[in-house]
Amino acid sequence: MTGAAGLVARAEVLKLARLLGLPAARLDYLQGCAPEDLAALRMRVTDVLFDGDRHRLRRIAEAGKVVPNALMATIGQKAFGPLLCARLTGLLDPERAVAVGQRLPAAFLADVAAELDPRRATGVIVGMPIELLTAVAGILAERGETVAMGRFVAFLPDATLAACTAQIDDASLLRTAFVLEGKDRLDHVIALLPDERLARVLDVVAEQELWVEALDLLAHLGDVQLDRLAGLADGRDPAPYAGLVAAAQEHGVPEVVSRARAHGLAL
Amino acid sequence: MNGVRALEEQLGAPPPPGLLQTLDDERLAKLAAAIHTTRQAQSAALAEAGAAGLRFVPVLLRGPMKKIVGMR
Repeated sequence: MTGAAGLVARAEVLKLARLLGLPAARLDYLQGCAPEDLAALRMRVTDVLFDGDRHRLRRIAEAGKVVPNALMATIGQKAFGPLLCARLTGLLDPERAVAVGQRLPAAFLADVAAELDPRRATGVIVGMPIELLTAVAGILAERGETVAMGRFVAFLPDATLAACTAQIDDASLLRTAFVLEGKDRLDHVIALLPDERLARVLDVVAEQELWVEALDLLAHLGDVQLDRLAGLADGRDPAPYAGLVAAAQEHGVPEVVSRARAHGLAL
Repeated sequence: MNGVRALEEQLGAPPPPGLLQTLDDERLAKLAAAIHTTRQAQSAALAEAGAAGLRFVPVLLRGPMKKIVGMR
């Protein structure tokens, strides 16, 4: 599959691979599928994985009600581990889950976040202190957990989102944008970035040759953010971006480059 | 069992129709096997983790908790 849909399909394969705990290359045979089919498949697999042991998990969550928060945190970290904690999070009372979560180290919470389905734990996510969420975001970025980070963006208020993006390195930010859940929010996320940060993202595109991620970003930006990007890139040498133009041809999205050029982006 | 049926069994629902048009039977079976492996591994890990949790519970609470979680 080529064109903009091909880029989205590529991102979907990355997300499904993360969900199944496989290297993305093992699912290369899915690249030709329509992105909406891959998204539907991933949602279904998520439901199967999360609901498969629901009865047993509900009983564990029920039993946990008689355990004090401090002991619950100890059990969570030392016995349950991140996978079970992630599955239990959505089954606990959100206030309790937040209270327990605040007793856990950020590194463990990052492990839990990587296994969590944010749709099932919205109340917990928004209830966590911003300092803890930003610490977790930084750890996830260090570990290359861009798919996990991309799942959370839709559930974070602007202030938290801005604080979290400040903790993430430029390449991780771009990679997270590529696999973002709910791409309709991407333009808004970019609008939250300060000018100097967005300019650094432009730098990292060329330095690390993140052509596919950059093309996807350009394809999802609205006119205002594209104009802003062009302004920030004004006067730059277009030579380092030759690979971006070539990638646009290779992936069948030359219109993305044409539109960016029309907005004044020198490519 | 063919790939379509294997995938439907793993998903507990018919697969997205577009997938059936794009992937051949062998690839559908491969996908079903990947989902099955992950489900099995996660289910086993969850069961093991749940049992391990009881070791940290004070002795007096273990009985009532085992009853609640259905371990006795």
